[in-house]
Amino acid sequence: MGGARERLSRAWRRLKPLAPVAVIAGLLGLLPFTTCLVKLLFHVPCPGCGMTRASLALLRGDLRASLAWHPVAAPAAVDLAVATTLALTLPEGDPRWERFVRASTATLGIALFVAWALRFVGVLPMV
Amino acid sequence: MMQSESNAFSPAHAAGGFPPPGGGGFGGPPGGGGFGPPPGGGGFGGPPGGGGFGGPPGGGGFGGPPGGGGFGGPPGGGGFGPPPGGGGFGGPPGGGGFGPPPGGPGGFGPPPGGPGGFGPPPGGMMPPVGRSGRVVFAGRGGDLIVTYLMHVMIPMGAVLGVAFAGAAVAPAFDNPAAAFVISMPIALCLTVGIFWAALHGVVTLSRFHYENLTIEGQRCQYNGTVGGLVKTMWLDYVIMACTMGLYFPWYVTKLNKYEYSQVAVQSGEQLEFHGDPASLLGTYLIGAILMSLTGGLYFPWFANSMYEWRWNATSLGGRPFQFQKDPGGLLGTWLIQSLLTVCSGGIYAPWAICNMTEWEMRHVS
Repeated sequence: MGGARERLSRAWRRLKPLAPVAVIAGLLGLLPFTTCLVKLLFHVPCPGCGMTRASLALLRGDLRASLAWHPVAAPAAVDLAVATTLALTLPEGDPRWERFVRASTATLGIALFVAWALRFVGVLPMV
Repeated sequence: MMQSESNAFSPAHAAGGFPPPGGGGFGGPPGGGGFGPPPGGGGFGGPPGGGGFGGPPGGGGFGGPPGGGGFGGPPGGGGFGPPPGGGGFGGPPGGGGFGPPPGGPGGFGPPPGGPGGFGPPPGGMMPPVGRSGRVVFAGRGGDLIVTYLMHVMIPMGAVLGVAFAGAAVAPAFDNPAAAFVISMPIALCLTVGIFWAALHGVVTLSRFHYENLTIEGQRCQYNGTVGGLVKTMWLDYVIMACTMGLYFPWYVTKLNKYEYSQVAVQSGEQLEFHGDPASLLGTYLIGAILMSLTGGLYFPWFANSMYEWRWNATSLGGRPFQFQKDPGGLLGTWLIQSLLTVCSGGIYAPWAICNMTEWEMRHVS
């Protein structure tokens, strides 16, 4: 019992930085207009535009729509599932956690920018 | 998306902060002993589940890790603060310390002759140890958001509001002379307003930065003001504008020197900056060119060079710091933090600032 509580507490500490992201994204997702500064100022989508709608489509189980809105949303969801599993299972101070965070953030960031570039060359639809 | 483990271990930010002006914490008078640890020794208690042992009578001790034991302090010496819920550090071995007040959160007395005191460390306990642990930033976005809204967003919003109002009113004047007479004071006020709001934001963020910074276990306090910044830097701002930014290395050198002169470290030692602006010029010029050529994607490499230049030229009491470059490591963090800030209309900025600062401090040894 104590072990489970400790494990949950450790997972929470590891995943805590995601909490403000989830809260802010959830609240802004309720607004009927975009809050993206790039979209508002330059009238072009930013690398993250479409992620909220893609995530909502994913929650509905509509993978096709999710990929259409943003191709990175589904891999990001898989990444989140892996992160949650690792956060729960890796022991305290395990260097693999830091390596995973570093690799996944870099990959995710680069993937977002690649997807963004593909929108401008017409491979992916504009949102 | 996520921060590294050490970041996730940032402690909860406890209430506390600075003692009332003139009061200055619980420090003893210069030359005299302060308040020693409480009877039985001020043990730095371990977290719940961990058994922290206090030191011997008169001595302080460290609490143990979760589930483990602790270490007693040297006999006759002060120890490290009270159990969780308290906070504060005991004095050095054999010396007078800065123990906590009975039943209250601990704090630090002011350095002899120095201003104010130091509040208890975040969470009332030792800050988390990062990769090197020498410099630790424990600021959290949730704590910065109010400061950010009150001191950065609202002043900037007010200035922009005046600009939009001016732009809306200007076409109403058919006479160009009248429009000029009306718009000139508005433009002047706007320039001053933007300048003031920017400096006010810089000072407020610097205060937050240093109040959440722990160097070698010593807390910091920032005493800079907008007035002091303008008084010291006004000529540099003018030269920066006249040279289209080429003066940046000299500007940033002077800014660092000013900033460090306004930082009071708990131990009474002074942060010193001895950077050579000429050595930064090449890095800065190449960085600026590559930044514009890559649409900003060169930023992690540029930022690492800047961090390295700054920290390698910084010392505390003669002990130099060193920054370990890791541009690949910064890339992912920076991309995600920037994107979240942009997508959220800037609301995520406080968390991004804290995460980036925490990343920087983990690479300082």
